Amino acid sequence: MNGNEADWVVLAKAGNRGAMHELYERNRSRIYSLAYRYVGNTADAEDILQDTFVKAFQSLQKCQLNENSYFATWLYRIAVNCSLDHFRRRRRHEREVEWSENLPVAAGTEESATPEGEYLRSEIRKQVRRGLERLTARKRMVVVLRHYQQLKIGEIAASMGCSEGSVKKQLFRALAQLKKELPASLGE
Amino acid sequence: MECKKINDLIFDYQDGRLAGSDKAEWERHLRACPACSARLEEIKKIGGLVRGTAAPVPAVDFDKSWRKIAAAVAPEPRRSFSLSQVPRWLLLTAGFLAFFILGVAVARLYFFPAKAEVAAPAEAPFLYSTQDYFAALQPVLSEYSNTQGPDGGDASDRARIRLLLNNLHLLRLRADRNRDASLLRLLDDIELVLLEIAHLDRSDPEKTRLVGALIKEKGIPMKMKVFKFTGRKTVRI
Repeated sequence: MNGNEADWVVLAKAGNRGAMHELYERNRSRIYSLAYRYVGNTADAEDILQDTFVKAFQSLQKCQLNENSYFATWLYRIAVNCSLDHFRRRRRHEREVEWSENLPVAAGTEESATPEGEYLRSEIRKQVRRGLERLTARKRMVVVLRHYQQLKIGEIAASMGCSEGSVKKQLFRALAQLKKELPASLGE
Repeated sequence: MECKKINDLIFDYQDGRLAGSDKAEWERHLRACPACSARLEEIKKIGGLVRGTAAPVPAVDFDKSWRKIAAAVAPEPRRSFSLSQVPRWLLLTAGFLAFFILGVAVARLYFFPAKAEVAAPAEAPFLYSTQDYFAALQPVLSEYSNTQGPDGGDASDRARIRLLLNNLHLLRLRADRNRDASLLRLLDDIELVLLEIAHLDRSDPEKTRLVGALIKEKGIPMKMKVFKFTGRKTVRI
């Protein structure tokens, strides 16, 4: 925790609303990005964003974060847990939690310049998303943190509260499952 | 390095955590082992496909979310006490009781005012027994029996005479209750002498001498001695 952020955390711990807002401003994009890429729609992502900060500020006032902890890592871990809980709740009510069909696509590549290339990219995207939708909550989280949020194995382990070995195992299994879901021409 | 170990290190290699001899050995094994090499390529390819589906995160109204967070985090407002929350019957009963208690207190003060405590005179200790009284009186009589009068100052002498006059009433009441006529007569003589001393003009030695003469005439010291040695019930004077 850098000195400046540590000061904000101390103030927020004392119930200072301005300090809480400052911490929110600093971390909101990262948390929202994780939530959105995990659940795939803005409404649920906003819910996760709000749940994360509410839980964080309430826990902060109960002194659950000690002086040497990194607020950003701690907050990210809360966001991961909120996302997992949200995902499990949704899955209990719906058979599958699907990404929004209107999800904006990634920036175009050379392939997407032609109609054939665009079609191919669209098909790949659908297949990959379908594969991701069938993963368990934790495997899906590991993949999102690794490939969407670009986190290293150590950072994923810290965010999910497990060992690096466990993260590697989940990632191997998730990628193996995705390979099975994808058409042979893509997976091979 | 075994293939299993190589697999464990794939992600460390991607994260740039392998260095030195470990990295060199890992790369050497990959060049020599087609299976491990293919596995690495597969992981890279699937990872790349997943990354390709990463969409830009749409904009969101962060201020709206903050308002919701702030409202949820805000400490629960304390429930302010309002008289409107109290049942009407309870308010009426409490009001009536307060009015009644106040009325009783005022009436009590008005009809039964507190009696002022009468402070006992500071210089009026009681001489409980006849013997004590005579012991206190003896020096006074001796001083006024000689011609020079009392040795002490005027003020201390008057206080002493006042004390003796005050206590004389107690002794008289007790003697009257015991029907002790001789003691009553003696007390009458003592009172006469003490009153003379109390009103005495001390600047006039003649008058002081007359008081001494009165003491001797009444024979007060002799009668006191008789009381002192024989007790009041057996001696009749």
